Amino acid sequence: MKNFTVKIRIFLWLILAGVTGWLLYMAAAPSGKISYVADFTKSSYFIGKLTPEERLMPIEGEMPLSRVIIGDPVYFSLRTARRFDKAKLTLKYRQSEDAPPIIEAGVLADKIIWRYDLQPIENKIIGRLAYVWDVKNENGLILLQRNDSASTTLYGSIEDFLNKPPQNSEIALYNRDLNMEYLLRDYKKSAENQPTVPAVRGAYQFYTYIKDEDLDFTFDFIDINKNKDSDPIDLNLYYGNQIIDTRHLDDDGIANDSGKESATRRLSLKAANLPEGVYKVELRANDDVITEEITTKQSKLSFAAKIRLAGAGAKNIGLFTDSNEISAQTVNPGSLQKIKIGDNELDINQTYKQFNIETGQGVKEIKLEKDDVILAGDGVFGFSEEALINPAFKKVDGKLDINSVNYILAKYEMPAEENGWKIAQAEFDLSGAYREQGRYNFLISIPGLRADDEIKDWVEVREIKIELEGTTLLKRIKNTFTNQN
Amino acid sequence: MFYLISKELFYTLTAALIIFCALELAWPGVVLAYININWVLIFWLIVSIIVLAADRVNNNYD
Repeated sequence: MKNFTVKIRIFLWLILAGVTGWLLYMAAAPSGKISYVADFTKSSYFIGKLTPEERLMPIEGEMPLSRVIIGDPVYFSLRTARRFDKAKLTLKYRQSEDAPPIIEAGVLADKIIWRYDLQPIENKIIGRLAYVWDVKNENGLILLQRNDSASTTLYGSIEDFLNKPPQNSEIALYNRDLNMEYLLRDYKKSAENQPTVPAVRGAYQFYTYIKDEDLDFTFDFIDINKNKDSDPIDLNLYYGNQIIDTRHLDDDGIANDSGKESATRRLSLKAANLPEGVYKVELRANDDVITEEITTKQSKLSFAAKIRLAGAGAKNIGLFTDSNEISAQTVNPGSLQKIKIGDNELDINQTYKQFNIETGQGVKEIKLEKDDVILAGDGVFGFSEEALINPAFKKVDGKLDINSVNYILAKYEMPAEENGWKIAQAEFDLSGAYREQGRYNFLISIPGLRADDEIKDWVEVREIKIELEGTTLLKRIKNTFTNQN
Repeated sequence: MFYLISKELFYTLTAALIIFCALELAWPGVVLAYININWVLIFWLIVSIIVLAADRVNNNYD
């Protein structure tokens, strides 16, 4: 009998040891590779639910086999037991005929400025043009060339195109940067300080131009301490997508939500002997940080894509933009107003709601009665028409006027089709991605898909698969002993 | 024999609960990703009751 008891005990403890070992194996992923799938038939521990529910078709009855996205964007999280370096996302989906042309997926790279590293899932514009324009495919790059115009030079290869590109205005890009000089012929430097920019809240990026002059900016910040986090400030200066200078300011010492305003703190960004060209200044800070004043002699200063005017009580503010589609939002009931944009009017009559307007091509003036408004667009924003500068190439999105370009350069692979479902893949670099409580945050972006409009467009997701790749256990152990990362 | 198996199962499940909880505290998600500890706890409770009942029958209490 004792023998039998020992056998049972050994058997059960071996099972427990096996289960524990398997759990540790799955968490450690010793090979450095693991994949997770969410097919919506049951909830997945690793791949979280698509949220928010308002942007998804409601579930009626039993758990569906797929989720239908009706609003942009939707988010999901990926829970992992350890860090990984790369993620390959495979999305199985289909969409309505009238669904917006672009689907992208992204991973949260920077939580302070809510920057997602976006990668293409599908771009119907490129897909359609590929049938009619000349197509060159090389090393994951695709070059589309208009072949119905006698004035357009047809390049024999992508290498030829990159070595001797046409004018910027003829090119549209998608998921690919092109390092081309952007020079202004009639640029004249200014000897005077530029007019003061109204107070701006949170993070921003702006372009400026340098020619035979020093780059010289002075920023005055205050910290309003309304959020619990600490509020450090980082200023980065970019030239040709490379950071060439940085400045840092620590938190004001109040890392809580006391609401106590800090004294004004100053940060200078100066650089001499810079080559002529466009420079980008990026401020990385959370919404507690208000830039009260930017003092500069630089005559070009254009905020890229988004600007949040702080609630400093400023009245009758004038801005200029070259954006085609402009959105405005406020969280302050006191800032509800009608915004004049060129000949149009945008009625901001609700807080926390984003209002959009299409204004057409060209520069137009935006007139605001009050500040504390978030303005966003597909172009740049400046506080005078002369200050506007937009070195960005045209992007192949729903707003691109195809007739205005002759070449499209994209890093893009068209989705495959299988039994009526499209299958697209996107790869992400997770080494610098934001991870909190073991979770990476992903989004699926379908610009133009709105839950609150009359159009019954949708994108139905059948399966999300994520293949992860990272350091092997052996390498990690080796690194630990050799004191490497 | 039934009593013996139940008793061994009880010991193993007790150890499993302790190990799983310790693992989960040390490395969040390592167990919960695959095993619902609630079910282990329920199973452990059922086995505990069975062991107590079997013990009572074996030793003929009362």
